[in-house]
Amino acid sequence: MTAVGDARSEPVTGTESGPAGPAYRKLQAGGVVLAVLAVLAIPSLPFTSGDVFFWTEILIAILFATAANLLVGYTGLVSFGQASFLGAGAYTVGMLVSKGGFESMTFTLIAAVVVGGLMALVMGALIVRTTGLAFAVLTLAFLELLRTMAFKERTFGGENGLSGVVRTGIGPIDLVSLDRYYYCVAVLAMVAMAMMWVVVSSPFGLTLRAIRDDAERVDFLGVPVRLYKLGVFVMAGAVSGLAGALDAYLNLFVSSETLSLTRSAEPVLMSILGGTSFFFGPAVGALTYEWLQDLLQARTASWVLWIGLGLIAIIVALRRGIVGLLAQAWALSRRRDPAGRTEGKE
Amino acid sequence: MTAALRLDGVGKRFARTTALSGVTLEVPDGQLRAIIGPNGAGKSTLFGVISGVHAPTSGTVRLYGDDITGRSPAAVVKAGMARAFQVARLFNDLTVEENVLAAVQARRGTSWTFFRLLRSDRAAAEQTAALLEEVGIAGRAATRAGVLSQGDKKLLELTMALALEPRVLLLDEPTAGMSPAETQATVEILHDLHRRRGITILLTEHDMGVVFALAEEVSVLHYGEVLTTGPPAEVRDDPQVIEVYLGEPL
Repeated sequence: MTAVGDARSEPVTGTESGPAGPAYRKLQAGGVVLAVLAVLAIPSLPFTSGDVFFWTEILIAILFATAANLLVGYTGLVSFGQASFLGAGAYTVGMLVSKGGFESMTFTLIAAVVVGGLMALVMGALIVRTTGLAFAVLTLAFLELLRTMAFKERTFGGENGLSGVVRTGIGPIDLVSLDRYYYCVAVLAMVAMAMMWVVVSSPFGLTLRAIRDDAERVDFLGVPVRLYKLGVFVMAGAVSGLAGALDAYLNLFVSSETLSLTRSAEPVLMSILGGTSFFFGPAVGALTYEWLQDLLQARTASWVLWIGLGLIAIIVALRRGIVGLLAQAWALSRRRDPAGRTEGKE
Repeated sequence: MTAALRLDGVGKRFARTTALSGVTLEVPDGQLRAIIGPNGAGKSTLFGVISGVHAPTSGTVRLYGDDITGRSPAAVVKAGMARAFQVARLFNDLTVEENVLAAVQARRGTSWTFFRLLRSDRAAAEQTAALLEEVGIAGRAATRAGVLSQGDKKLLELTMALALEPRVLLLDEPTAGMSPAETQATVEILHDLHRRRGITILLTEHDMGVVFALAEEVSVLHYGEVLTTGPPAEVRDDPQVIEVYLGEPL
């Protein structure tokens, strides 16, 4: 760990948002750079180039889980209906392409973001007054409503779903090949992640964390809590809409499976697995989850059982998720550092 | 001159009990007023009604002439009032600094700013640092609020209330749960604050030492009614007050 050796010694206060201090920030920045390089290298690395479809799925899962964690981790709103907006994005693409004949992906992707955000606005306006279990149940009810509609209504493809989604390109960039589409997803996901990072690091983000701790107390700061909840709900909905659209263009097919409870629970599970109090927790969780699923699926038919048991074990053992464990290990290693090295600049 | 806070015939009934009946109270601008009374006299309900937690069953609450009866807590804060709770309510997972910053940005109207980094707002950071300095908890800025001592928690909550730059400050037992030393320090802080900022302060307190050290006037609440209001020395010697509350002459 020579990279952090020259950093000033900081008391590691260990707030739920991660140990503070410039050294930690440096470590985080280093991790992000490595992750970005890895993401860009995946289609050309010998051991991953054969699995570009799988890696595209992972990027979409990371995007979706990070969006859900804006609610779960940052605002304390547990939504079991986040797939409503994933589905909204996917169906927006499905309908526009297969029924409307729209070829421009620029248009359909933007439309998916707008539809995801608008649906979240409508739904949020109805339910942000509720909290806890009532909120979770209402998100679930809304999801079921949409799923039933998609499944029964012929206009939306019914039980056959919507096939005939074709990938064209964005502007002059041709995205027909999977490798190229992978890069498109990577860039869009990174931009969306960067935007979400700014949001959680902003004054608005601090207000969200305050709401998570004690929403009622925020009222006594003169802040209209419901509007803030609605705001973040719309943001999460819009990003989920994008994830859904990217998913539709990956599978070239849209079905009511995108509106299933499984798809809704996944981002919440991934967030808890990685650590809801860390921005990159959901990303690490998504990667681990998908990898575990892939590993088990190839070996046993009862993989759902094993992944369930595995998740329970990890969640019980690591109260703050995988990233929480790493952060703790790092904090410990710094505390044990010989004094001379960390106090260089004091 | 308009009173800072004026209650007219304020009543509050819960399902079966009458917590307040016909409370009429006037706190002049800039005064430090203490409300005392035995447990169950209605002090907490009174604060709840003033700060928008409960809508009164009858009567009106005015803040500098502005009728705030039945407004939401957030709207009452907007009208110029801030409060602290008997058991400090903080954002436990946030640091001391972040707690105050949340209040500072609420006051500055920047809580909505979502596309700018928090740490780039120098003015808010400076104001936060100055407030922490003023109340004397700057040394704990990076500590998680949840692990503070009871005394520091109360001081942090006071700092958050001050960050809202209220014209009227409600403090529900500001020294509850404090050690004698912390109580003494808090009395000094409140005394200085009141003198320096000239804001109107309404506080409830069980510790008569604190009341007599700080209050310019004292109102005694008994069974949801105001028994009497007057300067501390007068109230202390009031036979009625001695009978219902103080028990014996102080």
